[in-house]
Amino acid sequence: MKKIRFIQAALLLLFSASVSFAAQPDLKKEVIHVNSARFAAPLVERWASEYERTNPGIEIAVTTNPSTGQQEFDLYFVGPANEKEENVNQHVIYTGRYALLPVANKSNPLLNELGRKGLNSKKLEKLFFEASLSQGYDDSPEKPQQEEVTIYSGNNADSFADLFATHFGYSPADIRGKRISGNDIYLINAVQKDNTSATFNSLGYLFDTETRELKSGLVLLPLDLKKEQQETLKSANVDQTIALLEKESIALIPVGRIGFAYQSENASAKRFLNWVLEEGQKYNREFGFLKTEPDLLAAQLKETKEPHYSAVY
Amino acid sequence: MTSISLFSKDIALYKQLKKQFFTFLILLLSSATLQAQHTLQGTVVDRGNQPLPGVSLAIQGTTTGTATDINGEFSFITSQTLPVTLVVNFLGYRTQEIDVYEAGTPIHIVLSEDIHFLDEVVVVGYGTQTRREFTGSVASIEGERIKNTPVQSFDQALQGVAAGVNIALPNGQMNTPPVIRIRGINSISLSSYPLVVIDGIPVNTGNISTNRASNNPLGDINPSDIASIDILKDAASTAIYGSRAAGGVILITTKRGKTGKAITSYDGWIGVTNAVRIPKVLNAQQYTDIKNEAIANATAIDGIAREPAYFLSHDADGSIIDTNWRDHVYRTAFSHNHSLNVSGGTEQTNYYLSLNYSDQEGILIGNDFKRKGIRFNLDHKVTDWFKIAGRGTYNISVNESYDSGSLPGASMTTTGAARLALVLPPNVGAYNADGSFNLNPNSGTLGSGNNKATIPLYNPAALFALSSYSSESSHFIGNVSAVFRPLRQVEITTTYAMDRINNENIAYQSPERGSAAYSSGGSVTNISTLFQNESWTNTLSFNEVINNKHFISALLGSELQQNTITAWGANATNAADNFFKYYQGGWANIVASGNNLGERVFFSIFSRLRYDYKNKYFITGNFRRDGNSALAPGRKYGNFGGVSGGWLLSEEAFFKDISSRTGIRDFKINASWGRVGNGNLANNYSSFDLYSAALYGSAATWENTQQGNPELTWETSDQTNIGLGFSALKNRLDVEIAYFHNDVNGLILSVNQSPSKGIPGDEILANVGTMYNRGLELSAAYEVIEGRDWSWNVSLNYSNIRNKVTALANNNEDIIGSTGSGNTNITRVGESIGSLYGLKTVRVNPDNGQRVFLNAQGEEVQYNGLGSWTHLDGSPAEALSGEDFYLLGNALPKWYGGFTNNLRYKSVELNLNFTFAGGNYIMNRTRSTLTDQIFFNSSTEILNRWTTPGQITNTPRVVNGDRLSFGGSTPISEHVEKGDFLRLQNISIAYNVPNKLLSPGPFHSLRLYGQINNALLFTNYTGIDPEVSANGNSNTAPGVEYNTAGLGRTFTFGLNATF
Repeated sequence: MKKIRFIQAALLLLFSASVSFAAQPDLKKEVIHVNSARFAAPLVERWASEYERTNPGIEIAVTTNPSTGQQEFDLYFVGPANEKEENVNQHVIYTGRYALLPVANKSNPLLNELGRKGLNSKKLEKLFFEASLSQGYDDSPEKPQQEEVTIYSGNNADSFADLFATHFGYSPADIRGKRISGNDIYLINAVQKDNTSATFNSLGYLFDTETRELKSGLVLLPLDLKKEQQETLKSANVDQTIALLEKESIALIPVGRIGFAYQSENASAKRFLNWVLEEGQKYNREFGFLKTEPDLLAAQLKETKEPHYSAVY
Repeated sequence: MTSISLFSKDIALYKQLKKQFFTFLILLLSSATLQAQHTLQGTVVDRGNQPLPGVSLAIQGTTTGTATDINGEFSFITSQTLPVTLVVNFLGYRTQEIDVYEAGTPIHIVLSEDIHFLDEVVVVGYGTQTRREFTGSVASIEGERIKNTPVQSFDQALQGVAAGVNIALPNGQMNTPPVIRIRGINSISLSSYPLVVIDGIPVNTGNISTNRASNNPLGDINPSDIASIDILKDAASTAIYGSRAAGGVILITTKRGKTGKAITSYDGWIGVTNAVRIPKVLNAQQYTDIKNEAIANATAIDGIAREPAYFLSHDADGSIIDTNWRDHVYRTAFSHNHSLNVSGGTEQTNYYLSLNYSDQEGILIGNDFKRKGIRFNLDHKVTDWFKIAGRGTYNISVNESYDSGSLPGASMTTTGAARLALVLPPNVGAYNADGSFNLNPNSGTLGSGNNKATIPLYNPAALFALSSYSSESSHFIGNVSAVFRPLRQVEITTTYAMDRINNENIAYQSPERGSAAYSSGGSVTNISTLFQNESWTNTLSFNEVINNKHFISALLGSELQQNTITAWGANATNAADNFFKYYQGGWANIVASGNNLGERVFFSIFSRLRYDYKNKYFITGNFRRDGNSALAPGRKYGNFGGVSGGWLLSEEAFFKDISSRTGIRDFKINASWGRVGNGNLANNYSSFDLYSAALYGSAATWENTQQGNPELTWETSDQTNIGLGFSALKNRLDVEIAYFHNDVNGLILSVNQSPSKGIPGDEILANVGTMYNRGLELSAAYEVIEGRDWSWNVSLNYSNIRNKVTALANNNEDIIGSTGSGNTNITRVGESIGSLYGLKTVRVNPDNGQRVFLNAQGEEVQYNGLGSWTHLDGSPAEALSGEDFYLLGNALPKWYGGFTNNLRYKSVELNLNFTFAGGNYIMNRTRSTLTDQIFFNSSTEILNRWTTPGQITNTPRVVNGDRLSFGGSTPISEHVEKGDFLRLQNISIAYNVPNKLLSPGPFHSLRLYGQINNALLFTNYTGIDPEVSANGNSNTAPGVEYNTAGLGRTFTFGLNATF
């Protein structure tokens, strides 16, 4: 009996030791802990791996679920869930942008109804929101077809619903239709299986990053834009779309920023951010992200290069 | 040492291994099973981020689900494969469907309110209904709308909020009951005041004070405790209240706790009030000049020599005394009001507790209203079939006031402050050089200074220092009830309720010179009155739906109510010493005063039957058999009732197409007819022969003081209502339109009797007389913009009403109404009740400055100011009298309403509430006072007086002693003015502090606001205010302003906080 217990204890110890050993980082490397939203994780991981390649003494540990494991991070992701929050103790560096486009199931009869001109602001609001601001001025009888469109939107704290609603002057609670609980990537699944559906999502989720085309079963809802802008969007190519949005701001397309918050005295984190701003921007487009605006980029480069002095009296 | 061999036959070891193997197997299987299970958890909140308890959540197509707890949180396990659709349902909120793809993260669900016009709940007699089911006419006001209004009683805050409900404040004295008329005046001799029912308890209304400090018992209700106010307007709705419903019914529902965490709310404001639109009067120099000019003119007319009588006075420093008497009467008033409540509950018990304190100063010096009180509302579910509830509020309120001269019958008192502020001579001061009051040494009235005329009015500075009036109430309103539900369809409720007011009124006037009781050696009057209303109400209701098409609802009930009044008091005069200010002091003469003992009992049975078919067709019948002890034997019981029907056209198939083309939804038409009664006899023994104790010579005896009428019974009102309502523009526009026609029959009036009958007063009360009110009402609310950052809502209510008297007692004999000492109104068949009445003036004769009148024959006659009447050619004419009076215009507004604008940008709100009324005329008797040719100071209108032949003016030549040309003693048409007005009743700007600024912190919500009440008034009426009236709620003498204190303009700053 005692022997059995002894064997069991030995096995347990052995297992624990092996797990602990496997979990030990390379003692020679400095680890920068970074958390990220899921939709930006592929880009962040690319930045990390490229940075590690050029800085062998650094390891970047990227976590997308802060509720498990690592609780303290050198870099905290700033995105849809917390972009507006201010923390005076932290600096924020914006390292990219994401854009939201409205899409529908490609069999949605709404597409025929919209015609060539596409959605202007008034129609877009009427389609997506429960109580459109413009309805007060529109006394034309409502079109029953629009009633049949099912709008899907995200319900999670880091959903794009907040940016989309606030961009048009609404609250996320004003968005019509059904909600999904889970990451916004599931909005794609929801739209693909419901031919009455429409939604909005980030380019990184809407486009296949391999083929650079829209994911199957989706079609961009036409927007009432300039002809050349419409043509670009009609191409349904993520690179052309990003190029257009980096060139000019379009009122009907909400654009938000992603970035990281860090403690000013964290030099390693700051160096990594400086690298992302200087070298990492070229990876943004690959994952459906826009580069940081040039003016902001320049200012942030300056901020991340200069040592931060704190005076003591 | 134990040898170990896995293959040995060691039974114990084998058993242990076997056990471990199965344990492992079970764990393995369990973990496999657990892999297919998901825990769905999260929180449900409203848009204000407040947790919503009791929200139902279920996975679509399954019975798996749960409900949120008191913190709005939920958690349940499902073995369904993700994604699943979670359906979130909560009454009053939009149903939300959520496709759950991942179960790891808590689901945060925000529900939006589903505000649907037809689903609004309205309180009806002995129950509630949705607007969809309701087939009568009702106006509903949320308590939130009135809680920040700087008023003493909630009814004062209802101006312009509902179609068909005309509410006006008759004067600027604190805690005065407003004039409330629901669909017009519904009686001549009885009260037209609506029945007010608070949480099912019919309560005392009107002014219960016995002295100059008014006391509205509704001022004992803390406005912040009110959840909703529902005003029933048509007979089909009010008939369930039977004989007391002719004036409409106002149902007040107080707040109850909601299931969930305790929420504490604080509502408070501080305010400053100023008097506005006080007429401009002459300064000392102008005053003496014009008064002496009037004396000279009198001499010029009759040739009798008169000396100037008015002279300037000077201070010790030689400066001219030029007193602005309004500074001795009006003031800048400061007020503050606080209400704190805690509410909450569990699944079994809900509670609401509140405290309130209000300290409000009136614009009249010495007018102070204070109230403090508590409320406790409790609901407890004992079992699934038995609930109990209790409501109770106890308030102590006191109103102190000098004689403002603004209460009914007080416009001509020599102590009326509003008049003293205007008419006292500006060339004398309130104080002498030594600081003592400026008083007439003989009469104690204001000293004349250098004027030769005696002033019979009092010096307000002395008056206020030497007198006081107060009316204090200790007021309890409460009930306890029990509800049994023996069957799913049946509910039995029994309620005992009490409304008890212990009211003490004290009037003190000093024996010192300067007091109005100087000649009687001082006076103090204490009158204590106990009002007690008790009721016991029992109802049985039955509700059933058959085949999901037929909805049947029945209510049966009985009510026993006993109202008693016990009043006793005494008036003491001739104080033993100036020291004694209280009745308990030493007084030489004491006589009984204000004694009253009365009892009235009502016993009623009532019922309501309702049937709905397919939620499209609705029919309701109400019936009440009322017994009233004040009526004659054999006629004590009356039957009242009504029927109403509704048709929700928008549920019909043919309407769907109309709806899709026009956007019109929820289209419903209603029609009702009903008969209600008015048994609001002022005397509890009106139908009886009454005798009073008297002396026959020196022998004690009885005397007959009232001859009873064994035929006396209810006034009845037959009311027809036709209405429609609909929503349009995606429910952003709600419209209701109603037409009503109320025939009031059997009006109780005094009928003249032959003197030979020996009947006291030669008259007897009888049911004679008829009249009608008919009109149109429109209510519309439009949500112009509703977005995250911006919202803009507008609403309008408009009422058009006509009143016509069709029969009166004594062969349609006119009924004359009076104000002060003169007749001002007439109720005549074919005309609106209480029309204005007086001499008709035409112009001022440019040749001689005399006022030209029309006599009864239609001839133009003129008056020279000294008693001589002539035709325009100079030939003598007969003096005009009451026989020459004309009906000068209707005194009741023909149209009225309100218009509100609520604009919000992000966290900032701007609210504008307008009220309007018109189509009526007002007799501005204050103008008569302010041009009267006696010692009174005049308004600046007198500067336009006729002075030169050929001068065209409406102001006659001033002649000392002329009390006719300017209407001083007799009302004239020159002072009848149109009463149309538009008032910016309230403008407020508020800031709702964003949640992110409040968190972390104790506050759930915080709203700061500033507002102005009575901000602007647009009117051509020249008087102090087109809504004030000297006669309060009088039916037969409305529309007269006579030395009445106007309404103040109040600036308040307040906050509403929950934590």
